[in-house]
Amino acid sequence: MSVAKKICLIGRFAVGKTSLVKQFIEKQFGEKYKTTVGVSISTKNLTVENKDISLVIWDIAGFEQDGHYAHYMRGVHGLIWVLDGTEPESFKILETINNSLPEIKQVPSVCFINKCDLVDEWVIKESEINSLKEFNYAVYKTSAKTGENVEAGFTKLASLLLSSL
Amino acid sequence: MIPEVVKNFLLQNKEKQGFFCLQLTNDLLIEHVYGKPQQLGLSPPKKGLKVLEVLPVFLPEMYNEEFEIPFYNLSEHSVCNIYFIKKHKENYLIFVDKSEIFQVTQKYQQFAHEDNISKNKFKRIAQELERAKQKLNKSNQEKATLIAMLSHELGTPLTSILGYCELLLEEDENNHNLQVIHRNSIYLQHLIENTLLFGKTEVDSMSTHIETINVEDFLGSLVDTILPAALEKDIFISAQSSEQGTINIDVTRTKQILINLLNNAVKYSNHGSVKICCHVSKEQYEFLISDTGIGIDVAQQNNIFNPWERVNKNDGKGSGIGLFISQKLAKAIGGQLQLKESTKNVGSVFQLLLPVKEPSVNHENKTPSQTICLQAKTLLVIDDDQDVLDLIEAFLEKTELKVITALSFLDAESILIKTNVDLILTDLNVGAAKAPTFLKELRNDKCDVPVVLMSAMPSNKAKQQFIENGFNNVMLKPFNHNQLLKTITTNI
Ligand SMILES: Nc1nc2c(ncn2[C@@H]2O[C@H](COP(=O)(O)OP(=O)(O)OP(=O)(O)O)[C@@H](O)[C@H]2O)c(=O)[nH]1
Ligand SMILES: [Mg+2]
Repeated sequence: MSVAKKICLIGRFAVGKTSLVKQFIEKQFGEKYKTTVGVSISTKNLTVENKDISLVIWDIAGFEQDGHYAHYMRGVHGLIWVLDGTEPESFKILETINNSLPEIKQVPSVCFINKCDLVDEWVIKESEINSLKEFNYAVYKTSAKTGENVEAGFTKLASLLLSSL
Repeated sequence: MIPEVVKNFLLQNKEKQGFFCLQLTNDLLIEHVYGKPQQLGLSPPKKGLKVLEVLPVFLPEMYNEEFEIPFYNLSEHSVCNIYFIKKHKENYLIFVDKSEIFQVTQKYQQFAHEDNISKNKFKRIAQELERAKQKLNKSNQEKATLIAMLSHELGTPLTSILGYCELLLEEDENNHNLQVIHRNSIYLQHLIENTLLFGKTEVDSMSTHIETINVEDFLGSLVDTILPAALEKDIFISAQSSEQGTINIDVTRTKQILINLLNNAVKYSNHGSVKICCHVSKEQYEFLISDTGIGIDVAQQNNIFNPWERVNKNDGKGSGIGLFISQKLAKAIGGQLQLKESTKNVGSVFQLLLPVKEPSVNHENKTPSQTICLQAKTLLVIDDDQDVLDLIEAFLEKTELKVITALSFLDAESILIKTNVDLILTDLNVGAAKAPTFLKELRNDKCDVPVVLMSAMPSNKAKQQFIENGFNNVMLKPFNHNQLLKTITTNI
């Protein structure tokens, strides 16, 4: 029997959390934005380094204020921070969430800088991406639209979870 | 029968909507199903099954304590709050339908987020625009400063070149070599003037000064100006007017435009003729400048009035702003300049249309002021360029005027203590010092000798500023013999 691990996608609204999950699970993408209210949970089974793992993926509505995650992060095993390379505001939220939930620093995490297909609107500089290193995350430039690095990012988190067993 | 515990819990939590409830054993096996899971789009789970096989999404949850998951999206259409409660060794997983309130919340949130996104986008575009605008303003400012500085720097040596050339020509007026130097210096002077005009933003709002002038005299003066260049290339120049008598035009600007056109006509012809005609009617004056030159490609005809666009890019002649400036000038005096026709290797015809206007009221005293007696008058000239000082002295040699020169304001001050001076002529920058500072000190010391500034900055605004600062007049650099005399006689 494979292990089941709860992972949460967190970040500002409209950064592409729902789209990333949809791309990862269904290999599909839609341009139309439908904001998530509450949480939508799906599962995906993976085999990483010959070990099976079942990811239970919590796609949570974009961060609103302190206490936003109270009901959703219980017992979380892994985190995917989702930032939007075309929206500087989405980077500020990382700090805010870390401050409001200090205990999540211990949770294995990866960071996606999403919408990397939008090169023309890309505003985040390499230096800013490098400064994320202080959080000790593996950082991926992803695109829910083209699928770039989506599988790689999720797989990375899965292997982090397996190695922490 | 729904267990009391569940009923009470729902009551406490004010949950009234449709719900269903799974009673679970401590091993999380389904013991009982209450209510209708179908209402939430779920098929009723069989008793005895492990709940996590039916709902694998709750696999990693910890069931050692109660929990709550608000707004769990079961599917696109059904959303519920989930409660796990433990009472009297019984476990209950309760699903309360929230689809209705979810729809409303979703709509609001959608609206708020989309609004936020578009506002942000707009803000960013506005910021980008603002940044671009500031950058543009800055580089425009830099350009204007550079041009002003450059013109000033170029004006000084040119004054000397032109002036000495004129002095030499007075002695030997048929010296061909001197004539060439003189003509080219004048051309350079025009070029600098045009470049300066290009840098000026106030060309559009330039004031016009309409004078009455005899049309044949006017055309004759144009021909005289262009004649040397034409003769050199064996090009025949002619002028013709439909009427005799006078016309009312802004003489300086019109001349500037027409000389520009005539210069081009000669420049781009290798033989043949250049003709200027003036047609006078009730409403307008039409000037036609035609040549038998190389003509302009149809493809280029639309571009010739753009700045830095040269008709023949590789001929190395001209800066490419002449036509641009001419058209700007024409507009400024209420006229219109266009290419009427042009055929490759046949020639071109340019047309300048000017409205007929009333002459401006003239405040200046037009009587030739050179008759004013300069005898026993003293002029103090201040410039850090010895060549300019020498030139002015040479220009004024034949007048009765006494000329004293100073290479610095300090020298000038000591001269003023000892000597009675009737007029001061000073450069704008003398060494590191500036004329306005000098003037201020002068006036503070109760010295009221008129001071005329020599400057290569021709902008009306700058000139106005200098006058407001107390200068009696501004003389543009470079200047020639006549201009110098005129300035002195009108200000002394
Ligand atoms: N070009 C491009 N668009 C993307 C990408 N990811 C998401 N989008 C678009 O961005 C918008 C928001 O995507 P969602 O996936 O709904 O964002 P979210 O993070 O789930 O938003 P909330 O649920 O409101 O927190 C949608 O219009 C998507 O089509 C991407 O990688 N590239
Ligand atoms: Mg979403």
